[in-house]
Amino acid sequence: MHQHHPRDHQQLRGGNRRGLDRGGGYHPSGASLAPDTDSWWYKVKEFTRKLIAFLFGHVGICGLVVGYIIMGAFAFMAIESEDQKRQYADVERVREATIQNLWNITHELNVLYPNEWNESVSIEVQLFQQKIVHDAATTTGAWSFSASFLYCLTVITTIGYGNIAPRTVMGKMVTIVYAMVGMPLFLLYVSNMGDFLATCFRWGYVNLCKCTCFSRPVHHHAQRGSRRRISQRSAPANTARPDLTSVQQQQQYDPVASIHHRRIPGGPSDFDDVELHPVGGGPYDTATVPITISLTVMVSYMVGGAVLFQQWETDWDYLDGSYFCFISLSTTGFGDLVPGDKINSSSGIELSLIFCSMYLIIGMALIAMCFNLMQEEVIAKVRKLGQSLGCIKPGEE
Amino acid sequence: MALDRKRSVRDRGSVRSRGSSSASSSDPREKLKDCCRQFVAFMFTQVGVGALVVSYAIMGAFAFMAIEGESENSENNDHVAHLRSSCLSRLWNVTDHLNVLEERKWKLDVRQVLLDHQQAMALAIKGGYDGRTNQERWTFPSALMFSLSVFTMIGFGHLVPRTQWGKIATMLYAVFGIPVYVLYFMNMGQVLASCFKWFYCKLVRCVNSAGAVDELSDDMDEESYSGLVIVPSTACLWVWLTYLAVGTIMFAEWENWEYLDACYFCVTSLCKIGMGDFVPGANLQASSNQTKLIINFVYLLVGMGIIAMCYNLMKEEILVRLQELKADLIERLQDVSGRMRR
Repeated sequence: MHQHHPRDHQQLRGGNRRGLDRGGGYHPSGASLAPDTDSWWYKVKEFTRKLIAFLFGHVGICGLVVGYIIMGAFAFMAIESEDQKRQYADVERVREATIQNLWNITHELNVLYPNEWNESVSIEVQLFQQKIVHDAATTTGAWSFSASFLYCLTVITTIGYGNIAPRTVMGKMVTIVYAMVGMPLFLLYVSNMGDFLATCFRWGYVNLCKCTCFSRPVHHHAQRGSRRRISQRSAPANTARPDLTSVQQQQQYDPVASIHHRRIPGGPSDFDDVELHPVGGGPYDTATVPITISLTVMVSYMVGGAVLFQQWETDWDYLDGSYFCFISLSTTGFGDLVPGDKINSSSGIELSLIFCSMYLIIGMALIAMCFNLMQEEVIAKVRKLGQSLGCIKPGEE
Repeated sequence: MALDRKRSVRDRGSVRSRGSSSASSSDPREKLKDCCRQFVAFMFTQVGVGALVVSYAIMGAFAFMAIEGESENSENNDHVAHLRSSCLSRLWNVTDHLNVLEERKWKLDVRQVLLDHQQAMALAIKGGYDGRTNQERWTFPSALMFSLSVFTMIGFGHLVPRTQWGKIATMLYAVFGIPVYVLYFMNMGQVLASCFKWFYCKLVRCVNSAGAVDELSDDMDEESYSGLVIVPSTACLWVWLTYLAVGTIMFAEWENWEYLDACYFCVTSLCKIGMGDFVPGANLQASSNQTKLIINFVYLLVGMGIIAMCYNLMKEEILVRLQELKADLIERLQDVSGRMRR
């Protein structure tokens, strides 16, 4: 398939292997044959290539995590359903015993005096009640599919509600193993998605800045370096290119290229280097997202969740909703408030539990994104604080 | 010599220079002063952070005791009493209306009454009823455990705030407590990691000196030698497993749990999952359980430190492996997509 097509030249940029495969010495490996980077077709090809890599990278991780949770949900359903039947049988037994006792009481009294009867019966009911309370500590809700799904999610995110907990020996052992394997997987997902979302967010933010900066007069070369560079950027791309330094040339803000740039395997140092340089240029002041915006994103996600859950759950108010969102997203997870917990539907997929799970999965990624955006500033500030307090010696991490 | 001192100054909490007879030929008095200064700084930093964490927990315990313990017993208790009396009156009605007490019919009706009562009780229990008053529930050790579970993000959930102010206080407590905890975590992790590295080096040196490889270790200073020795991940895992085993045995004996249950509790607590179905000392009947709660508290804090240490020691290895994995994956994908395009 040696068609001499303009496309072939462009593929050499991607890697040595392809160039060599196409008949070796003709094209020097790795050297860019001055490809027509501006051609529309080339851009489309690059985009599709990155899309495929992205799909396998990010969506793959998401799919892996969701698949792991689904697998765990089925496993726990199978393990705990037997024990559940036993639980119900136990409760029924206690109830039947109480009924029998009540009957005996009623039967023995030949003449029914309300007070006497009430006294004996109330003792009996009190006992029954205490047994319910005692058993409720170990009795858990139904292990439907959605409940198991939420349970598996809470295990690997370390939230750990505990409103549903395994009671069988097998269930506990499987929980331990499941947690050991699932937690690193989820951490991988969170860091991956956090990085990706942070990159997108920075790109969007810089774009927004550019739009607002466009309105400023171009010749305003202020003292601040940032503004000068922005005005350079807002000049038409083609003419600006020879003016820009090589550093800026590498970092033309092109979000797809930035993703590609980050994925070039170059070792840890390379990775860190690119991570610190947000899209659009290295030392740009406006390219780092300020802390307030990240905090706003986090808080609004929590408030949004609070409003939604308050609508869904009948007896939650706004405080309960925000309390639930905060406690869940901080992975504390008490388990006193869980959406869909009070619904006694024995079968089928309860929507609120699935929705809750989705909310948590997305929320974790968002929080990772915010921490990603905030970390440079926060670390610098903390280091300054520590140095001023004398706790941290200069030159340390 | 100056280089050695710089390096020893740079290692925070470096245990190696604490009175160890290193081969560097510095003035002994200088070394002693240096040691003392480092020791004081070490104690101040590490102990300071540890004390901060503990005092924050204690302060939180008192605050929650005041907010939740003193609050009037929620309407839950009244509600349950109301439930019981209505159940009784229904039973009486059933009994009264049947002129002839036929067993099967009577039992049918009574069964229904009890079922309703049971379900109503289940709802009340989910709302927080457990037969105790707020004072009984929120004792100091329980409140301490609760504060710990908030800022370590374990979140047992066996004891939760029910009042509005309690919930707001919990959120604020978490917002300020989690950074403190993270600080403690990272600090403890580094200290323990350097201690462990030093210990491991000593061990390796002992083993090596038994062999013939002596000139290598003589030439190098201890610090540089330890820089070369990387603690393998398996050693960290062994430490963690040992700690887990200790906890399992301890809790199984004290609480009369099964070994599996104790292991399950240790794993879920140390991994910060915190189910809350098993909490040592949760069923507070006797005061002896209060000391158990304190020991539980200490166990969890130290356990977090050990996890931080393992994380610290394994971090570089894991990061590098992850990078390699990512790079490998990307390369393969590019390869595949390149082949697909031909």
